[in-house]
Amino acid sequence: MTRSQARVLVGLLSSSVVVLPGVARAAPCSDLPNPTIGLGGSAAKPLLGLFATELAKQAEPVSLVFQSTTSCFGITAYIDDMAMTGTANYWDAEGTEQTCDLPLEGITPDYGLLSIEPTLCEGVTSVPDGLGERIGPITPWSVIVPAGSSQTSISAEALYFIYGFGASEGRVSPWIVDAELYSRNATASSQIALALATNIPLGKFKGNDTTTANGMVTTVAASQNPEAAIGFVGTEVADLSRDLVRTLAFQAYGQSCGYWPDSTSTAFDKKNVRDGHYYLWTPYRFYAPVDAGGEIIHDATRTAVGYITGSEPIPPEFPALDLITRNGSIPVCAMTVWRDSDIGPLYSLAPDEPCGCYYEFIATGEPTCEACETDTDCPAEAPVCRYNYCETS
Amino acid sequence: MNRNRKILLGVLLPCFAACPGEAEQPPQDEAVASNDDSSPDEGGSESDDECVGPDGCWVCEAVEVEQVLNQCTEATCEPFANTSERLPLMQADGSLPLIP
Repeated sequence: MTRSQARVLVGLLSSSVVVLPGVARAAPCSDLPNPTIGLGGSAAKPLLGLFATELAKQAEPVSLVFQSTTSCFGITAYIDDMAMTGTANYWDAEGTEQTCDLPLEGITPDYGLLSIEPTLCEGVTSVPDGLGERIGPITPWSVIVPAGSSQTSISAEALYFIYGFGASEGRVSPWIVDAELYSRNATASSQIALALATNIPLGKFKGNDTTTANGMVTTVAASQNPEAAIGFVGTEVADLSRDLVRTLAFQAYGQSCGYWPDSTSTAFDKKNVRDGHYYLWTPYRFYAPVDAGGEIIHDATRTAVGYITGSEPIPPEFPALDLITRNGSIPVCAMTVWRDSDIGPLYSLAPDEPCGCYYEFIATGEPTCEACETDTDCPAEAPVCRYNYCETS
Repeated sequence: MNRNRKILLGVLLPCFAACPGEAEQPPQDEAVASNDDSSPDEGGSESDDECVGPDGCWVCEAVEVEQVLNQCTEATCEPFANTSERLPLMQADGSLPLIP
């Protein structure tokens, strides 16, 4: 699907509430308290939902409004001066997802959200002047099969044949049925990330477009030929449906064994992402108009994006780290590897203020480090008390 | 590909044939413990023999990307056999043909 075709589809989908007969219009998004209205990849929706709920509870609430499309629209909306129209979602203080209407004449987004570098999107050579970037938590990517499949592992080489040549031409058993080969399109960060990791030219990526992250999960899960079905989606989304789909262990080029994002197929610790054994991950990236000093101009956007990315001071009572962790995303402070380009070479990197101990406690419910109140409670090998656990630095 | 990578991959590749189909945990505790005694320098320039564990995992400080990917770990892993039986289009030398 080309960018222009995808734009038409998104427009049709997001306008459905307006054009379908007998469907009442929702409340205007702009009437919500302190709204910040943006768009981007559908894999980010669970994360935004958690933050939106918490932001709605604040004494001075912010309404985080999101139109779920694909990642590249988070930047091309600015480049193409494409107004947002149709409907979008927000979350009330109880965490219930709601729908609101965008103005019929459209609006310029307050923020764009990508899970991939903007220049990996078709036709994007640079970020437009006047937009600032904020790097957010890490999202891993999962290659998934139906829960009924017996398959447990896959390699970059195998994916190269499956998605590069097509299922039937690629001849990688059991994934040899073209109708069971599920993909997204060239504007989706999941597909761009997988193409990079497997060296498949983006224009030659095969498969049947499932349109959204949730669509991927439901389509793969509903396959009548589970052994042959395969797809890919953000791990946070896959983890919400482990009873329906399973993440395959992924073996990158040059790797001797396949690894799950977590230390086992059933864990939730994202250990292998954090230490470099799991290759498929990218950070969330927010883009928003900034002033000459680089500060996000729109107050509600600065607050919402700032809390998600840590680029603004976060009030002590706001549980940003917990929200990121509970979503299955990974805060940068819990990583011990990094890369300078999406799906680029990994290298070891200790974060300035590590939070791996607290992350593991929230993610798994089990403390893996010594608990503390102050630094004096900590041993010499982990002397810093941070978030009530002894960290190495 | 530098010499370290070639040797590491040479050690690792036989694992594809040797690894069982069931999930396994590459042993690492012993290797890491012995590595602790070797006091690796910051450049990761130990000899390859010292840095490759019993199952081919990397016990020294990881510098190259393959070393990061193949560090010894307690995590469970599941190998995918990149054999000609599993990947019929793979070329005889193990390289991948261009996508048409």
